[in-house]
Amino acid sequence: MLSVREVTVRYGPFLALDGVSLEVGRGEIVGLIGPNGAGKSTLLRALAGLVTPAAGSIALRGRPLAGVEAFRRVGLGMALVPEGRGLFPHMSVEENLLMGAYAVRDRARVRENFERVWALFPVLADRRRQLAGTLSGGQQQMLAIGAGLMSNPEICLFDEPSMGLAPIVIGEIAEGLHRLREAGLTVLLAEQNAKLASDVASRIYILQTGRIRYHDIPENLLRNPEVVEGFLSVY
Amino acid sequence: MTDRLRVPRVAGVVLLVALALALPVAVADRRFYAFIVGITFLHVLWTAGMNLLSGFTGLIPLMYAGLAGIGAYVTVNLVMSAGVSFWLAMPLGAVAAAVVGVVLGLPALRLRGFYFTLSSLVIQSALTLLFVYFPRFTQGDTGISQIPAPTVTLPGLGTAALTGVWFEETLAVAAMLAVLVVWRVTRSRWGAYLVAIREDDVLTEALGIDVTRFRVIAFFISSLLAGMGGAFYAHYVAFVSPRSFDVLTSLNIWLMVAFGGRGTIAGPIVGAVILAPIPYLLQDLYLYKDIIYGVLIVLVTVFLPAGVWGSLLPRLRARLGAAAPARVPGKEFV
Repeated sequence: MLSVREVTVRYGPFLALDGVSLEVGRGEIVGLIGPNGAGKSTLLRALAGLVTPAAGSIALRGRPLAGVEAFRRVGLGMALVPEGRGLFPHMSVEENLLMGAYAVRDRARVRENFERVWALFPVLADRRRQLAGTLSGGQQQMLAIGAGLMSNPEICLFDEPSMGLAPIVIGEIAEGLHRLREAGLTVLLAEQNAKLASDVASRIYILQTGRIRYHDIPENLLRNPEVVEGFLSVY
Repeated sequence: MTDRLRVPRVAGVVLLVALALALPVAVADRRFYAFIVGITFLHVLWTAGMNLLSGFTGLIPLMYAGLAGIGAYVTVNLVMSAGVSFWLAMPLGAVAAAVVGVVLGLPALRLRGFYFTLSSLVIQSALTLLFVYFPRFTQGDTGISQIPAPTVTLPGLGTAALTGVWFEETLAVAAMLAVLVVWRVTRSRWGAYLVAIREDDVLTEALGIDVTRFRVIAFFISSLLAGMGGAFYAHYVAFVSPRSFDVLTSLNIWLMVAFGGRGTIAGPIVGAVILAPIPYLLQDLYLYKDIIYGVLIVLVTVFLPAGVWGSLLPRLRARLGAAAPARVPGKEFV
C-alpha cells in the first residue's frame, strides 16, 4: 500500500530523517514509535507532502508521490491527522468534518461518511453543533481523526493521537483504532506512547535520531531487553 | 443561525440601507459634508474587499491601494484618451486590477502570514514607482486632474453628468453591492474554506483543500473591489496622483477593517464610517488630527482587540440569548 525507500529530510543543516525505509501493507496498522525529536512527525509530514524529502522515494499503491502536492495526496487516498488535535476550534464539529470532506464530490458519499464518523465516535454525534474548541481533549482528538476519515482515505497517518490525554481517554482512542482496522482501513500510527502502539499495531518500527533502529512485531520487541530498556520503559 | 437574531438582523440591515440612501439627500446642499459621505461610501467599498483577505483569509495585502490605482488609471485613461464610457471602463479597470493583482501576487500567495505581508509591501512599492515613472498614463507626480464625472443617458431624458447627490447615491449602491458580494462569498462553502485557511493553512492543506486556489479566488475578488473603488474614486474626486494610491492608503484601509472588526461583515463598515471622515472633519484641528486618530486606534487596540464591532457583537449576541457564532476570528487585533 505504502512504500517508503531511503527517505532523507533536511531542515537546513539539520538531518531530520536519514535514509528511512518502511512498508505498510493493505489493512495493516503499523506503529512508528520513538522519543521526542526522533523524526516521527517529519516522516508523516513528508508522506503527506508537507515537507519535501532531499532524497528517497515514496509510493502509494505503487504510484510515486514525488512532486504531488499535499492536497492532491488526500484525493489519492491518503489522510494525515496532524499532531496536537488538528482541528478548527472556532468551527462546529460538523463544519470541521465538512472541511475534511472537501475532496469528496458526491453528496451522498459525504452523508455516508458523516454516519461512519458518528458510528465510530458516538459522542461527537451528540455534539455536532458544538464549537470544536469547547470539546474535551479526547473528543477533540476523535474529531481530528473523524475529519481525516471524511475524505474516504485508504490509508490514514495518525500523528500522536494520545498526546496529552488521560489513560482512560487513550483507551477510547485505542478502541476507535481497533474498529478502524476491523473496517479495513490501513493506518500508520506515530506514537510516543509505546503501550498504545503495541496494543493496536501488528508491526512496529522504532525511530531514533532520524533512523529506523528496530523493526519487528510487538511481541518480539517486548522480549528484547535492549528495546524495552531504551524505548518501552513506560511499559 | 438562531431565529432569535433573525429579526434584529433584518431590521438592522433595512435601517442601514435606508440610512445610507437617505444620508446623501439629507446633506445634499452642504457639499463639504456630502463629499465626506461620498468618501466614506468609497471606503466602505474598499474595506469590504480588504476584509475578504485580511479578515477572512488571513492575508494582509499591502498592495491593495496599488491595485486600486491600477483600476483608477486604466479607467481614467480609457475614459479620457479613448473616449470609452465610464460604465464600460470601470469594470474593465476593476478586472485589470484583479488580473494584475493575481499575476503579481501569485508567487506571494504561496507565502503565509508575515511573509505574504512583506512581499505585498514590495509589490505596492513597485506599483507606486510604476505610477511615477509612466507619466504617459499617469502624468507622474503631477497627477491627472479634471477627470470628468461619468455621464448617464436615460431614454427620453437625454444625457447628463452624474454629479452631486446622484454620485453619492451611486457610491452608496456600489458600497452596498460590495458588502453584499463579500457577505455572499463568506457565507458560502467557499467562505468556510477561506476561514479554515486563515485559522490553520497547514491543516487545511492536510485535509485536502487546495489552499493556493482559494487564496487566488479571494485575492481576485478583493482586487476587483479595490480596482472598482479606485475607478469610482478617480471620477468622484476628479484628481488622482500616485500619492492617492500609496502604501499609506493601503494601511489606512487595513486599519479601518481591524478597527471595526476583521472577519465580520458589519465591522469594516463601522471602521470606515468612524475613521474615514476624521481627516476631513478635523481639518481645523490639523495639529491634533493625527494624535486624535492615533489615540482612537490605541484605545480600540487595548480595550476592544477584536475591533469595535468584533468585540461588541459577542456581547450583543449574549444579551439576545443567541448561541455563540461559529467562525468568529480570534481576539487578536490583526
